Amino acid sequence: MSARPPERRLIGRFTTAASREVVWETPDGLEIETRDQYDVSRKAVLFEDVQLVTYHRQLGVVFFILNAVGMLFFLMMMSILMSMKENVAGAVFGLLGVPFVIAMAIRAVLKVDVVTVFGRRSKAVMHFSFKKQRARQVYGTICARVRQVHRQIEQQIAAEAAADVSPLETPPAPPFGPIESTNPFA
Amino acid sequence: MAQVQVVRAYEGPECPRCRMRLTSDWIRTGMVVCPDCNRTFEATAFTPPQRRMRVVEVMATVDGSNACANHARNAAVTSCQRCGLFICSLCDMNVGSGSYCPTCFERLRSGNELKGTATRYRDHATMARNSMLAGIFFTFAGIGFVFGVLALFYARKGLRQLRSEGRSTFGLRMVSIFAMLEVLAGIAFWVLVVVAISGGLD
Repeated sequence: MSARPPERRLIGRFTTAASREVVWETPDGLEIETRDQYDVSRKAVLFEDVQLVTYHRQLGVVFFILNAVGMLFFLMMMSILMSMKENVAGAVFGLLGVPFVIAMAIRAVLKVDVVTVFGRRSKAVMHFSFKKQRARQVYGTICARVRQVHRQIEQQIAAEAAADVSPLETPPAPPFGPIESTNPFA
Repeated sequence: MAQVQVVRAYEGPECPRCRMRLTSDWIRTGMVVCPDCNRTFEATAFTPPQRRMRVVEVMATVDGSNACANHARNAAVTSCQRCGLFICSLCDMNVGSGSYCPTCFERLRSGNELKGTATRYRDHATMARNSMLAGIFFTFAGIGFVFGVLALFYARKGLRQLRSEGRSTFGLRMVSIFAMLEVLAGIAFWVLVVVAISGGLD
C-alpha cells in the first residue's frame, strides 16, 4: 500500500523502450514514479537537495534510427514489388512507410526539450516532445521553487544560529567624565 | 532465467547529454559546454544549504540526561516507539510517523509498514483495467467472467490505494461496472448453454 501526500501535480514524463517515468511536483520536491509492468517504484528529489537544473534540446538518436529502419524496410519492400511490376502492392508499402517519414520530419524540426533536475542523491528527467512552452515553464518553476526553499532554509539556519548565540558578558562601562588618577606619585 | 538489470549508481550532477559526471567547476549557471562531449546545455546551479543537526552532549545538560544508546556522548532526546531505546537527535528517524531508532526504522521500512516510506507498490488500478479489457475480449469465448471477477478483485484493492492517495476513483469505478457486466454476461452465457443443451430452448 502506498501512501503519498494528495497534493501533487503531474509536471512531466520520460518514456523509453524499457521504462516509463512520471514526474510529479509535491510541496517538498519532485516525486518520480518508475513503472516496470505493474510494479511502481518511487523516489524523490527534494528541492532542498537540488544542485543543478538543466535544460537542453536534443534529437533523440534512438528514435531517429528506429524510424529510419522502419522507413527503409517499407521503401525496400516497395522497390522490390515495383521491380516485380506489382505497382498497387508497392504503393501500399510505400504508403505504410509515410508515417515513419512524417515522424522523422517532425522530430527533426521540433526536437525534444529535456529538463533534468540533479539532486544530491537522485535526479529527475522530463521530456517534452511538443509542448516547448511548457518545458520552459517547468524549468522556470522548478528553479523558482528551489530558490525559495533554499532561502527559507537559510533563514531558518540563521535564526537557529542567532538563538544559539548566548549574549556575551560585557565588562562594566568606564565611568563618565575625566578619570581621576589614583597614583600618588603622579 | 532471471533478467539482470544493471543500474548505474547516481553520483551527482552530470552532463544531461552524455551523462559524464560534472566536477564542481562545471556546475554553474548559464550556458555550459560539456568538457567531454562539447555540446551545450542551459543550467542553473544551486548550493544547497547545509542543515546543522543540533546534538546536545550529556555533559552539557544540567540534569544529566540519559545517554543515547548508539552515541554515548550524546544526550537522548526521545525513545524508539518500537523498542524503547533511548536515542539522540542523530538517531531519531522520524518521517512523520513517530520516532524510531535506525534499526527499527529499517525493519519497518523494508516491510512497507511505515506510512510514507513505501517506495515500491503494485499498481492495482492498471491491473484491474487490463483484466477488464481482457474480459471484454474473452466474453465472446464464454470465459470473460473469469477476467471480470479478477478485475473486480484488483479494482477493490486499487480503490483502496487511490483513496489513500487522494486520487480520483472515477476511472476505476467505471472499470468495476464493466467488470460486473462481464460477470453477468458470462453467467447469462453459461445459463443459456445449459438450457440449450438440456433442450429448454425447443
